[in-house]
Amino acid sequence: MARFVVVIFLFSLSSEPPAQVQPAPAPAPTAPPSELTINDLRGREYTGPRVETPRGLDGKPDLTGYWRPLREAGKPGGNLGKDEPNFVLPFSDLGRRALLYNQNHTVDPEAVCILGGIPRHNGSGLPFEILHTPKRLATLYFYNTHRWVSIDANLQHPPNPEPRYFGHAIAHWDDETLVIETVGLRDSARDKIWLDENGNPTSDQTRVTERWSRPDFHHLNLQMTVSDLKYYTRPFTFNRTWVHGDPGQGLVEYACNENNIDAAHIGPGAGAIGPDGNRGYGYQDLELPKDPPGPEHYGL
Amino acid sequence: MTVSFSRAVLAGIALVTAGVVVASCRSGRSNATEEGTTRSSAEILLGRPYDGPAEATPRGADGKPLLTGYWKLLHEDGKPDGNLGKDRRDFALPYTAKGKEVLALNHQTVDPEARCIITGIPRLLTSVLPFEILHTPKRLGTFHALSWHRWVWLDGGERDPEQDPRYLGNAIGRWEGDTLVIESSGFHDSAEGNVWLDDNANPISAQATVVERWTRPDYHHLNLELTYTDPPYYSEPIIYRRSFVHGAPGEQLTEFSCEWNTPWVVTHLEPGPGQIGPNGNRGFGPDNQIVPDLPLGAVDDSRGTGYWLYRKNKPKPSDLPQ
Repeated sequence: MARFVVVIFLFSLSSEPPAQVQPAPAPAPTAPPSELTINDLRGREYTGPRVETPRGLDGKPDLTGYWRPLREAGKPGGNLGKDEPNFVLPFSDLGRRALLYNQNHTVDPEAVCILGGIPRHNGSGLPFEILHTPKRLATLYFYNTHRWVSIDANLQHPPNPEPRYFGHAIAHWDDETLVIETVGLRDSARDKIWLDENGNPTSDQTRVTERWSRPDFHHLNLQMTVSDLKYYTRPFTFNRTWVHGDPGQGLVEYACNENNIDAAHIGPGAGAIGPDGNRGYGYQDLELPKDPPGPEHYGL
Repeated sequence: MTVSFSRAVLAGIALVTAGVVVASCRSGRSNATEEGTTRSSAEILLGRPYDGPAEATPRGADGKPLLTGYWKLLHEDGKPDGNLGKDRRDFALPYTAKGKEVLALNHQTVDPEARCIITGIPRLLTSVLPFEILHTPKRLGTFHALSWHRWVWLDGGERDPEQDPRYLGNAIGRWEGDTLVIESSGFHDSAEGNVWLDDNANPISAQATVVERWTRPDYHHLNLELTYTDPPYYSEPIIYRRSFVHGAPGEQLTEFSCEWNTPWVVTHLEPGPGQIGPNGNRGFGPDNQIVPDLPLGAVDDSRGTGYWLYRKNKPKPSDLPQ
């Protein structure tokens, strides 16, 4: 399955969507689609009447839902430098070395079913799901992973946090905006973690501030600031909007580690990054099959 | 090629593990030491009977009980965990002939959890480890140790006749009074070699149905009555009951990355669940503990593979020299 992970990845980033991808259909209470297509993964601008923001028992916006990302024309997906000049992040010297290390030594962590981490998932082209209760929130991701956020203005980060892929996330409300602060992340120089899908580096100094708002039922906005002065010369921002999925859509299980016989043979790095800031450069003309190749293609 | 890769992995694991042991000692990061205690994993992970004043069941906007919380098992002395036959005479399950065949097959299979394949339902519900629930109006998630989660629809939808087989099944919940009833069907079959019914390697078939009846009679208690029906492998339905107690404030699940699923794990582990004692328990480690040691990952606090939980039946690359 690891091979499929990588393939889907490139689909999500290429500018022209291929006809279909493989993942199992989302459960729908009525008339479920027989197959999930790329159009089910990608968000489309909502054009219906405005529906009020749902609210939780605490009166705050309820972020629960299945969220599909809106792509911006001319901007790369999966690249946290999408709003930077030439889509390139402001690397420090150490950051350039860490980037080189990632590209030459680190197999894409998601391709070998390791937790993708923060902020990488916020730059992903794939939908995600939120389950939100007043004190506790989980974000759930495509390859069967999740992260935890505790919501309480009185919480503080531990002084010496155990490094994690998703770090230590605590949140508070700034009026109608949920602010999630994350520290205690793993470092690309030691662990299999990337800042984003393009293989940019992230360090143990990284601090991620996410400001989430839900102005109406159908939209979810993120203003994210990443500060990592070990690998970058200044903090940078990443903004994105997601639209709510159709009724009955939700994530489903994904057995990332099932039969991952190819995991040992995947090369390091994200591959060439094109001038459009996208990974997968040079593959645009590749004719992808409608269905994934069967086991006969793998010499099984 | 395979051989040289395996060696590299062995060396890598040994190095990483050695490094982590040192780091853990220096920073005192392990779960047990972080709490500044030498409490056993059983004291930390198992629930203890609540003897404070009863507090009212929290309720949602629909007036129904909210199941959200961090839930620790009230282990029953003399009863095995990880065994769906817990409440039966001699802990014996009513296998059919076909069920016995597939049970034997499971004994030839490396534990799917050790391979970081999704641990399914009902196995997750037989675990001795705490779990967490997030309950929202239309969607409920149960989150389990080793980073597993499953979703339950509460939106009034009906079962999809075209549903895909899944390790977690396809779960739909509905209310009967104050009881949340979750029905799941559409499972993977143990005959495919990747899924067990419980920790003891009992078989599950694609025809299985699981009905969970959850109640929260007060703030601190959560009860489960589970009915498992699987005619191809079991001659009668199996009833399984458990009770959980709410964790202390601040207790919660944390990240775990099941990533030590190397070729070494798949090719070197002894297949099957290991010896199941007359107490019906597979047990953890050489001392047959009912609760695994902390940290669960045994590589570091938040990384590892389920294998390290259970077995010391073969040498591991991280073992110290004898």
